[in-house]
Amino acid sequence: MATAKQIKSAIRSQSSAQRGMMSSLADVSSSLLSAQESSKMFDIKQQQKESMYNFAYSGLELAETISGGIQQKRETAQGVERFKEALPSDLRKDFRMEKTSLSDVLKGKKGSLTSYLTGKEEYFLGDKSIGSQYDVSARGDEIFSKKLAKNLLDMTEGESLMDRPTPTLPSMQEGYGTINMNKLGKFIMKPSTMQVNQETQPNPELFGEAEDIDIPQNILDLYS
Amino acid sequence: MSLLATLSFALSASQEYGRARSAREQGRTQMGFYKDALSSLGQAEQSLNQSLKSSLELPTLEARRSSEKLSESGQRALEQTRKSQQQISEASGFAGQSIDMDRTKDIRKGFTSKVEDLDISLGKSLADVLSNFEQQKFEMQSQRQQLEMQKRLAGQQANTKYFGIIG
Repeated sequence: MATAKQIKSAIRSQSSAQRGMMSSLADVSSSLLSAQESSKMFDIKQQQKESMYNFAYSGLELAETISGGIQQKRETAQGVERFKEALPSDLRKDFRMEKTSLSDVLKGKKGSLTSYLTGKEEYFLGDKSIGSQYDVSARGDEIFSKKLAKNLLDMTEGESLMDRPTPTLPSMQEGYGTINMNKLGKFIMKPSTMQVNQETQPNPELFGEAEDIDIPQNILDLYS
Repeated sequence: MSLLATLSFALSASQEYGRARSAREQGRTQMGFYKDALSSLGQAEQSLNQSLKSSLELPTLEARRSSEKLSESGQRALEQTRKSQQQISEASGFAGQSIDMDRTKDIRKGFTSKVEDLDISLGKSLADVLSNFEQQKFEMQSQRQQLEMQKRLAGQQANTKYFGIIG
């Protein structure tokens, strides 16, 4: 007969095995939770790092923009200075800059609100406006580069190409505008070696009368 | 400008290096967790296999005990019937064989029916135990596969190459 002892032993054994199994499964869950937590923490840290780097990149971009702005301002000022230097000494004192003031804009005297907000400066030579700072700077740069090119050519060739007059085409000679089609006809309708019909003649109705068009002799000589 | 470009490049390189290093570290950490989980799962599988023996043993022993008890009580009932019949025969002088046979038949029938009930109950218990065992085994197997896959992925992450080329 199966004794109570045997049954109790089986119960103990079963409960012990089940406890062990549940404990191991709890360990599995714990490890998985830790892995999940670690993964989430990793994501959060990555996001923080990403934000930090984005901030740094923004700082660099700002620095680049500021640096570019400063450089551009310096180049503009340099161009204006070059323009001023290129002016004859008696005109130099008439060279001045005016900045649009808020009161002028509000009173409607000159300038617009946009020009005031963008800090646009206007340059004058006496009373004559010669444009904004960018216009003047561009002219100054142009003068400077031309001067530079002249100096360079002076050094290389002796005589500067800048001093040479600009080559122009000779004027049209008299008679070039009129063409004697009657005379030209024999060249136009002259059969080539490929043509079979030797009887082809210029049609006066199509090309007009001989007196209508007059071809200079030197051109005709070219074709004879 | 070149300073800014250099700084930008250095920042980008630092970010990429940091990203790869963190990914590798995280991959190793994850691998550790999955390794632990797989080890615990292995222990759970062992415990499950151990529990099967005792789980099958317990209802069998209980059924055997019940059947033996039933057998004993049946035996006692038969003895009791035989004794009471004998007393009646001795007192009356008649042999009540037919009454004796009917009573015995009833007792045997009752015994057989109870044994059958026990047998059914035992079969049901064993089937439940085996069914639960197979279900838990399957769940553990699928969990093992899942954990192994995640461990492989973590291993892949732990081998992330720096700048995509240096590993």
